[in-house]
Amino acid sequence: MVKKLKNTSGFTLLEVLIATGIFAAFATAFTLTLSYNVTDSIRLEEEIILKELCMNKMNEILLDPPDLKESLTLQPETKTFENNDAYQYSLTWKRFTLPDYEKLKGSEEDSDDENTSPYEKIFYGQIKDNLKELIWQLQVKVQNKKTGYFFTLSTWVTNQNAKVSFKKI
Amino acid sequence: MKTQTPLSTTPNGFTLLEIIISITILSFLMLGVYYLTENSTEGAARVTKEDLFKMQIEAALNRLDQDFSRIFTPLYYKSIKGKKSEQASELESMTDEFPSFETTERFPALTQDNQPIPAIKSDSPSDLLFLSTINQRKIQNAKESHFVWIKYMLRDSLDENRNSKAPFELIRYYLPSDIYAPDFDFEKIRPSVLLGNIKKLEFLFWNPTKKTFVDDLKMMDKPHLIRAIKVVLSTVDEKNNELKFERIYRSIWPFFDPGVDEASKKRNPQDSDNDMDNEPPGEED
Repeated sequence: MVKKLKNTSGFTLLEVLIATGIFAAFATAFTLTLSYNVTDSIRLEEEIILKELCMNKMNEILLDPPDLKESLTLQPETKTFENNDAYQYSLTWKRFTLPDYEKLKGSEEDSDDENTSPYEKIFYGQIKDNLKELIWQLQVKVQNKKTGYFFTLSTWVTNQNAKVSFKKI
Repeated sequence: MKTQTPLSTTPNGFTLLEIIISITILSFLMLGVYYLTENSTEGAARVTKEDLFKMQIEAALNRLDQDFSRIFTPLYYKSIKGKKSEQASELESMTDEFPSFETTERFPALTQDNQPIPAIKSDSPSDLLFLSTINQRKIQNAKESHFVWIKYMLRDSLDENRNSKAPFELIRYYLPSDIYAPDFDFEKIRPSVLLGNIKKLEFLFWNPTKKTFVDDLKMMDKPHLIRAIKVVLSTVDEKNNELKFERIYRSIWPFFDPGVDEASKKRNPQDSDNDMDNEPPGEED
């Protein structure tokens, strides 16, 4: 009996490793499917909150826009929500700028070309100046302070106080 | 020399002890695997159920957003008719050839050029009635336009298993036909239920002069013109957790000051000819 037991060799190390490996893969697959559901759900919840805060902020600003002036565009301001400490928002304002007339035409040297009317350039310049005052761009970015998840929305804002003005040529 | 017994003849199967041990280990292992699967499927089901409730809330609020973003009133481009004492200008007497609209419950006021102004009503904080332009005809010859009266309100849930902490449900009445009928009769219409398990719902209205949201529509300077509403909703989920939502919804109609427009028309009456050629508002899409 003793002799027989000695003869029968056990599993080799390789066999045991393979077996545990298969089992480990199997087990991780299951735990992952479990945790994916939970993380997805948390992500969804987070996204809903971020979107809610972002849209509300955007609507608040559109209803009561600040005085649109150059200083707004300098640096995006970051603030914490008054009713929700865990989230912060930053507002980025940009002017609407058309490219220069020469760049649009694609020729800088030929600006004295006789074919192009000088009025074209002046009109374009006036339109550009007016649009610069009339149309603004706003981006609202809401971020969770802890996790760093964020949501952004952008829109055009028309300046209600700006008046279209064309100078006489 | 000892004689090596050939492999085939040695009875080298597993012993009973080995089999018993291995079966015991295996059974423990399978038990573990069973619990793991059980947990994961249960977790998945629970999560999807919770998410489903959240998605329902999102869907209901989205519906409200869409309805409200298209709220309509001619006050966007015309100012309201003043008191009789105000002398009608030449322009107004010209448009007076249209028969004057008799004000009704649905259209309680008129603009300067006799266009009916639809009512916006909120008898309690949790109900809201307005005229929207989101209707789309589903049957070709239905007597409908893009105008529709919509009423949101809370009622006691008809569900027998309702949560006693959140007994209300949000319902929506939708009246796309015969929008000029003199009064409202909501008893004949079947509302659709948008959301259950509601504890509280409140509509607040944007007051442009005070720059805040006010709870009473009568406090507004222009009670027939609302640019934005705030919806404060609190619901209770299955585990009795209270969920609070606060949303601001805005009318997408662009900002325009009819007062300035009419003042400039009085100064330059010849400009008003162009105005007559304009297509009737509200049909821009």
